[in-house]
Amino acid sequence: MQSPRILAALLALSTVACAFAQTASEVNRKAFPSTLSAPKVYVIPMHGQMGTDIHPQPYKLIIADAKKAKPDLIIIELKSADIDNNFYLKNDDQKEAGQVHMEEYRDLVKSLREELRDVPQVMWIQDSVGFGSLMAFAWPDMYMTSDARLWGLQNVAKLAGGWSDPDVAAKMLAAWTGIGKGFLQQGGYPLELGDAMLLPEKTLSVKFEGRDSVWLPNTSGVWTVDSSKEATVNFNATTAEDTGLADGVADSLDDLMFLLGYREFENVESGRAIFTDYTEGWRKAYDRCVEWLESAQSVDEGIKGFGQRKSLFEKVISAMKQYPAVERRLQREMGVTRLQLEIEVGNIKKEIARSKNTGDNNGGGGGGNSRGLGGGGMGGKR
Amino acid sequence: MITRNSRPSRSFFSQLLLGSVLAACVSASALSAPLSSMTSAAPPVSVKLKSGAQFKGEVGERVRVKCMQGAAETTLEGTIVKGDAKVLVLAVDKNGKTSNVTILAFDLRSIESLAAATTTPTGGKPAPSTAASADAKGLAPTATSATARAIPNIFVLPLEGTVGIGMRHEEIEQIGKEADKMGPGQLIVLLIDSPGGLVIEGDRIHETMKELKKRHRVVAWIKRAISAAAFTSLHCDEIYFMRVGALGSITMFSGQTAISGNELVAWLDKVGEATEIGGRSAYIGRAMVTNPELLSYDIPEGYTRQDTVFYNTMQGKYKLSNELENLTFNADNAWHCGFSDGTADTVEELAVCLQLTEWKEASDVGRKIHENWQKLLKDCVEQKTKLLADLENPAGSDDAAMLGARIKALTELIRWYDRCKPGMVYEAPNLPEDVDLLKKQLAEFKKALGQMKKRGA
Repeated sequence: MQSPRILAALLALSTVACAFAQTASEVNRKAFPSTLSAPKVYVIPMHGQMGTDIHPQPYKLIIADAKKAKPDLIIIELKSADIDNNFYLKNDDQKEAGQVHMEEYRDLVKSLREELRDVPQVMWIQDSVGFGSLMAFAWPDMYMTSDARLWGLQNVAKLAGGWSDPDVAAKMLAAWTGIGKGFLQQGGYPLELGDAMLLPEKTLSVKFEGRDSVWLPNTSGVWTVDSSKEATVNFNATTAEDTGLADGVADSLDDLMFLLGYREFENVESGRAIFTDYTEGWRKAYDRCVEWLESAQSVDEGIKGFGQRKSLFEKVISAMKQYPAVERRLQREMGVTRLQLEIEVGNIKKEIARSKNTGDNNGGGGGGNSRGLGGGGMGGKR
Repeated sequence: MITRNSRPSRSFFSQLLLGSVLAACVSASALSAPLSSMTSAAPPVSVKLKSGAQFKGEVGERVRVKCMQGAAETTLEGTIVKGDAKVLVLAVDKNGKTSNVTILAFDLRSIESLAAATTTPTGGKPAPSTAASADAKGLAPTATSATARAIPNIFVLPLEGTVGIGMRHEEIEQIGKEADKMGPGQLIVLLIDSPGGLVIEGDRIHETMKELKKRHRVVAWIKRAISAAAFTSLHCDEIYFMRVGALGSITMFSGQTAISGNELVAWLDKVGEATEIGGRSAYIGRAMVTNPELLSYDIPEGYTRQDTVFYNTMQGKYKLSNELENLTFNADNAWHCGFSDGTADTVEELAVCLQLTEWKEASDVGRKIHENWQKLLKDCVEQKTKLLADLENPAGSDDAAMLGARIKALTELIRWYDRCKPGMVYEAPNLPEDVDLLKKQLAEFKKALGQMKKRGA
């Protein structure tokens, strides 16, 4: 039998539990720091390609650094445009188009929002076309530069393309756009807005209740944002501000801080430095890997050539381990993965052993089906 | 046609607890430790008052209720036997006898918890309800029920990846067995992040979930539950969303084409059944299966989201799925129509939704089960690819050595079937489901090697 004391404690606990409302959690939105002091501002850049530049690797370091820096305010600086001129000029570098790693982006958002939840966070969009726009919507406080775009969420719906059966097509569409709309829900934006940004057939208008915008899934609002059933909604800075989607337009960090109510602030630059080191690092490593892989195709035959090729592949493997973004880019551009290279290294070792055993210093073609990277066994362009 | 949200209903769990209470009536010996450990968590009760306010308590809680009896308002004190959106059943003492009084939600004016008052010993005397008196009256609010009110042990099982590969019934069974060690009534949180997967595994999960719910309180916490993962989640009496969460799209298809005819009818029935097992309208699950299954809802005036009326037509004020759409919920619409029980991004927020005063996991066993399986799966796929490369291009510089290397690779591949069959069969590069094919090949290799050696000798 429980002692009365324990019983009382347990029941008191259950009473306290009942006091909690079993409701949906509000979007986490910390109050901004007092305007009386110069706040410490930590900028987290999200620049470049989704999936390589904007990758969990640097943000793990940035989150740890931000925790140490103890800022009063965090600015997420988003500049990630898949395509600069997506109407008619095909002069964009397709290698830089955003990659599809929706779950990873989702988890990145969650990490930043939750691990740094004690610090108010502001999304500042400098440009966003493509999957980057999912990130843009994952923060409730949104500012834009005057030339910023907030475009391209039709890319999410396109992921569901290619199914002819109406039930399967609807399933895929609902699944992908459901995952996409999760980002908007994270930022506290309504599903009506998400539908119009993700699905061409959805329309959108807005009405105003005091300072609040109410988004409507039709054209009955005072401002019709999208009456087309053939295109998704895209915002620029002006339309985003006028409809109340963006909280303001700011072309510099000084402007942004002023809009937020601070004439003075302390800018913590270490996050930017970590991000720059990372992006420069992986891109440099990628360029080297391309060179190494090209060199591997032109090495001499024979044991010496095997050794050189093996050494080059091992360097690429090492770079892939250091920067997963390198593997992602190589896989997309050349069809090369770390596992394939490891197998290839294994094959080369077998060839070397065979050559040594048979005393054939020329190697090449002996025993089994070793193909080597230059032999066409791994596919992809190179 | 319409159906009401039948939630909250924790039928299996409630039956278990009521069964335990009944056992306590039969014999005093039933109050011994084993029984008390069997009743280690009382089901929560959510009662709606006429004013629209809600009271949240639990079965066995002592309360004071003001309600209308005829034209007059009266006050009753008693113990909650049952409560839902429509009715509150109180066990009330009168002249030494206990009787159940049923009060319609419409007649309820106020409810006040007396938990602290009734359980605080006064003047060195024991609390008003004792084990003996409870036994005599068949009531729960006793010292014994202190165990019944204990904060349940929390087990978190992350379920990630393709259903049938990363997310399987085996891990759900395993966490159930771990929870069993602490007795029935534990809290199991399935943290789901899956794009769906194999139908055959969905069937196994269906049976596993039905069994597990008889013993424990099973909660789904949704990051991503698509297709078979949504089907799994529907079994849970309580579903909580992360803000990024998405749940739905349970269309079954083969190749490029969705199932149809009798197969579709059977699948609609099964998804409907799973939805009802979780205490929700079957229309919801069906709208996730095929476009012609429509879904809309109303929340009657003066009522709350827990009283949502669902229609398999578009007649409701709120439309969820038309004839061109498949239903997938996000946090907001799931909450609004009462499909979800709350939205929580962190365990601390989930604790609030679950009405726990703190988040305290019994152990990290569920997370370990998940980690171990995911690691094994990853290793399996990597090793399989390398072993297949060894099979194709074996080490060695003569035929016997190469055949020996092939035998080694094939033996290792066969071993992986025992350790991680889903990784071998369903992950690319796919191998045959029937391991005997590989075993046959191995026997042939061995025979060839034997002959080779004989010839060499």
